[in-house]
Amino acid sequence: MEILANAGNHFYGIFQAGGQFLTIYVVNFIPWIIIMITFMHILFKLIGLERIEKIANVLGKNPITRWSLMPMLCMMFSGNPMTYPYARFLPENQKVAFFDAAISYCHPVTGLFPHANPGELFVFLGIATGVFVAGYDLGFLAISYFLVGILVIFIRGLVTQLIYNAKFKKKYGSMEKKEA
Amino acid sequence: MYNAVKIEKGHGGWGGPLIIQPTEKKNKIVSITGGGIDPLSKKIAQLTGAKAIDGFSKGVSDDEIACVVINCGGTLRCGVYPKKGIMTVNLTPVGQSGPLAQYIKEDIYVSGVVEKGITLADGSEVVEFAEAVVEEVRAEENYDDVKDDNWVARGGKALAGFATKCVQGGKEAIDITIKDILPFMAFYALLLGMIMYTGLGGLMAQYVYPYLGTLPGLLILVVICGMPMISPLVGSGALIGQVLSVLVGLGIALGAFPVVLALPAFFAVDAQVGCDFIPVGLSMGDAENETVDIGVPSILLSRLITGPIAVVIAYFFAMAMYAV
Repeated sequence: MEILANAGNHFYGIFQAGGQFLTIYVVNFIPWIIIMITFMHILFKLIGLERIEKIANVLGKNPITRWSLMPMLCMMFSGNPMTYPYARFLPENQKVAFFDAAISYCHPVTGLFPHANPGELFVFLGIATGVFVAGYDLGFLAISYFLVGILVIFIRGLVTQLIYNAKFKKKYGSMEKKEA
Repeated sequence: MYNAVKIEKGHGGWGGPLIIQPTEKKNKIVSITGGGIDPLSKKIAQLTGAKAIDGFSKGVSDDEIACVVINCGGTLRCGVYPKKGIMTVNLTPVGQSGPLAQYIKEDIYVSGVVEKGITLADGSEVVEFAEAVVEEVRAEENYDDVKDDNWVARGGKALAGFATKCVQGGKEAIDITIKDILPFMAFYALLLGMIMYTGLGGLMAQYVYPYLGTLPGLLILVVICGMPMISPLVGSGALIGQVLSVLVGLGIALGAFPVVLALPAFFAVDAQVGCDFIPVGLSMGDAENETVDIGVPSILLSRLITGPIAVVIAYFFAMAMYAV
């Protein structure tokens, strides 16, 4: 009898422990995420995709913004994975570095703008929950992730471009691709 | 003689493509958008040779309607016409929505339509009208009652458009929360519940977090995640990154992982981000195959270098910020 009762209680215990975590998530995160996504959708509909494409096109023209502000802007407005088609604004030899910078920003963006990648929120939310439970504010953490993320993707874009150029030269002899 | 047109959904739209083929009896394109006949109805009328009519100022019996053009934000009109079996073109990009959602089907409804989504259907798609003659029809001859919008109509339309956008924003937010966010919350809550209830959390607090919660610990983690033979395997769906993040979060909540290292930990668990997705992502940007061939190893190698750099930058940023 006692064994049976214990087994039953342990069975519930696991799920009740899980339920406590679910409560933390739902009570503390879901409400502001819903309001935030609502606001962003209204804002983006008012701004329109054409304007974003125009700005992205301009930002792609120089390497500094191409690996920092352009991926940030595209990610904020188009999200993951619809940011990657923006590479078509760029010459062929710049697409790889842009893609690397852009996809590396698909998690730093979610701290402030969860709508951009709602399916992979927990890369931010996992650590953020711990910080929240430990009694710290999330605002500072989210904005630091966002800003340091821009610096990181810039360096990543630069390094990837250099490696790409080197591999390209090794394979084709020069930066001009020979016609097949 | 009427021409068939093909109407395809636009950005964010749903349903279709529809083939609209007016007949001698069903020869009216009814615009129910408020404030006269909208340009889309004019275009359909122009291409098919049917007659565009402002549905608000003139009633049309259902059996004369070839199709209706509406700008419904997802409550009523978008379901009413499909329910009656009338081809429905919605200018607003909404899918199956509203109290009559079950009548909204791909073969009778298309939404988010813009002008370039309307083309003459080629013969193969409307078999019985294969020899439809393309005839220049001057659009101007085909409408009734074209009125200029007055300022009340314009203001009303703008307000209705804004309200629609707001409600749609809310709908999308709820959709995303239910489809994309809550399932992950359920999964990670279960994972954490099991770790804590079985006592694994306590063991990790003793034996794992003290080592992981240092700069060298994070660097070892990022190098493992960033290794070119590992990163494409652990990049899939960001699952490993998310699980690692949840585990680090648990360490912080337990007080076993220093909260100062939260920022560098973000970059330590994520060196592999998207490594499984490189060929797909590059082809979304119209990259050529040769570019992809060189691009994949370039990115994988870059991650091994920039992963640790990212952790170090974030580490010093966090240290500097907490010192202030």
